[in-house]
Amino acid sequence: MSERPAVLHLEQVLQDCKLVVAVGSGGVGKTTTAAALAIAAARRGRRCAVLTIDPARRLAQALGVSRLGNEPQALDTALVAPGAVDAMMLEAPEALDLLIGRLVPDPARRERLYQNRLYQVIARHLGGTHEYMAVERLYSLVKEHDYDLVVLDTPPTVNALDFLDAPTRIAAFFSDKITRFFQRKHDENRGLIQRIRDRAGEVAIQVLGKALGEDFIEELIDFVTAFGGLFAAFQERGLVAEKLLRDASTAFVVVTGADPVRVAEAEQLAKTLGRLDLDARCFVANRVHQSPSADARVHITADDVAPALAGFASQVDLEALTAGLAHAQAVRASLARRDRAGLARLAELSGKKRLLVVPELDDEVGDRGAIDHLIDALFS
Amino acid sequence: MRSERTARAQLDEILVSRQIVMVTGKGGVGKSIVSAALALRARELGLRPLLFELDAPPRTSLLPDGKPAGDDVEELAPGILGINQRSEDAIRDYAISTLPSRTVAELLFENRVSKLFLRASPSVSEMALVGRVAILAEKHGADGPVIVDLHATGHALSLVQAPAGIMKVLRGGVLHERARRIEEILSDPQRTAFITVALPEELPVTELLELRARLRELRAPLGPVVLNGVIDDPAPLVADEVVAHLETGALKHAAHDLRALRTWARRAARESERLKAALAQEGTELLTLPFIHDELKPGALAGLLAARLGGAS
Repeated sequence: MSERPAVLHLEQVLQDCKLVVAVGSGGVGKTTTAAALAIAAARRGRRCAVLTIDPARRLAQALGVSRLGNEPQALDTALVAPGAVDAMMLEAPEALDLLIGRLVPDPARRERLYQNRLYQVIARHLGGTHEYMAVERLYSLVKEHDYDLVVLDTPPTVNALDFLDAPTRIAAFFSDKITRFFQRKHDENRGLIQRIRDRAGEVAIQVLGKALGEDFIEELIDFVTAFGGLFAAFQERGLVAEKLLRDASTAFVVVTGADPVRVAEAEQLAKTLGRLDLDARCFVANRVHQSPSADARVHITADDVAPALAGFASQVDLEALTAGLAHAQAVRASLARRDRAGLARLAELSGKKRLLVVPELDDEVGDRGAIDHLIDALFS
Repeated sequence: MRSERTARAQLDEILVSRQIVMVTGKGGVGKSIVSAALALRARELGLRPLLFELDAPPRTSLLPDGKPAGDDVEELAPGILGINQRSEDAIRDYAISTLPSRTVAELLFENRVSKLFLRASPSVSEMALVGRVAILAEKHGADGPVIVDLHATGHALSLVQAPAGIMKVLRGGVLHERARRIEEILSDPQRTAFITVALPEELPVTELLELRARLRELRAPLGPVVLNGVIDDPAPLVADEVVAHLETGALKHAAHDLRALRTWARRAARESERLKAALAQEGTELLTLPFIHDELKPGALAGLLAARLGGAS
């Protein structure tokens, strides 16, 4: 269980923040944690959206929605009252099409874009689009919708860093300095300085052409020209999203485990956040093994087990049971000691006040049970 | 256990005959430690493997008496080479090793516009990463496999798709030609194998099956599946009610530990059965590695797992 100041700190974050970004390595329960935070905030009366990128259908089931997609789906009122939670999942190709649909009202121009091979590849075939689109969706959720709180679930660590970097990259990709080189020139009355600049651009194009093929450059020029004024819109969104990520009302929550590998990854992530000047507001250590056996010094023997069996004595193989108990205790003790060391390191990293501890579940509780367990552990 | 033997034999065959062994699966399933164990196993088979890590965090080596991998290929432990490739350097490293002249590569990278452009373009960096792997495989593949410790599921897929994406956009030029070669290598069952790793838990198993289906669609040659961290019930013959009774008495802590481990073991058994059933349909073998709880140094852990890969019990 977490310490009181950490619980109060998290309460404060859910109360004050407009955007909570869950980051962490894969398999630590980031998606579930993001959902739990949105639900917890809703139960405190806020209207929330949770945007996930993880296509775990099971999460959708646990949340009581049939299938998550780009369109917001309201979660069961019983789960979130008195507030509300809209859940959605990012599906990149469709999301990009939807965005273009909104930004380009002219159907002919829109069709030309959809048909451009570069666009098709960017939208459908290549990695990296998710990060761009996550930023884009973020922009629209925060700026164009009226949610009190948006909780964003991000891809696993290494990609998450790409995600954090995405606004800058979007801005760079769509910056005038670059697109200007590739856009077809219609204006023939350029000044001398402009012409010199354009010449430098052409050298760059020739170099790129050598490496990437002349065809590609043609296609790229078409693409850039077809995108036309959209670059400004993309760039603006990238910059706004970047500002948003740095805003005082945005909190990053690092989700991690307490084993050495996860702790090292969390440490790395915290460093990167620091370097990007982003604030790791809370750390959630998930699935932490705890056991009173961590400090048990006595090895269990058959003499300990026999008197405890009472009426069951005749039913069990005393030796096997004793061995089983001793083994179970040894395994759990070693896991608990390992995780205790991990928590100590995390506490150093985050300050005790920012560290929330969610114990591993020792029973099967089902999906909804796991979310409830998470909320209980985070807030009590 | 016949299936385990077959799986081990297949794995050995892959280590001996392939140039590239991609290790992939959901985050946190133990890809890095399994990769290290595969490298140790390859060494046992008389090979000289190269462990290719991607953006590995600074950590003590996972190899016994090994040193952490650096930016260049070097020997990490006797008979095992390694490199820690940083994604952000991959484009530059790759360009320098592929472009017709170093001057062109440097021109590309000194030019702010093209630098920004390449960094910002989706899939160029993925392509550069697989390109780096292919180059190392050409250089070292004859001595032993390049064992690639990939990122989580989504990343593995985008790496595999990168050459096709590049070829769709670039119809000519040096990079198109490289992309075609790389795609050929990645889909060639004589040269490449994908080892998928899971934990015996619901999400990792589901994700592994989905990943394999996607990889198959992309014509990636699939090897056996490694199920890592399998735990057994510590007292399978003892009834739950006995454990529940013990939890009320002096042994309550140990009994609680037993119940917790039992819950875990049952989940593991259920998930490995589900995985086995799904894999049986496609004729794929499954190799299980035990959950090891001892407080071991990472090197010792990889050594234990490598021994299991070799058939020790």
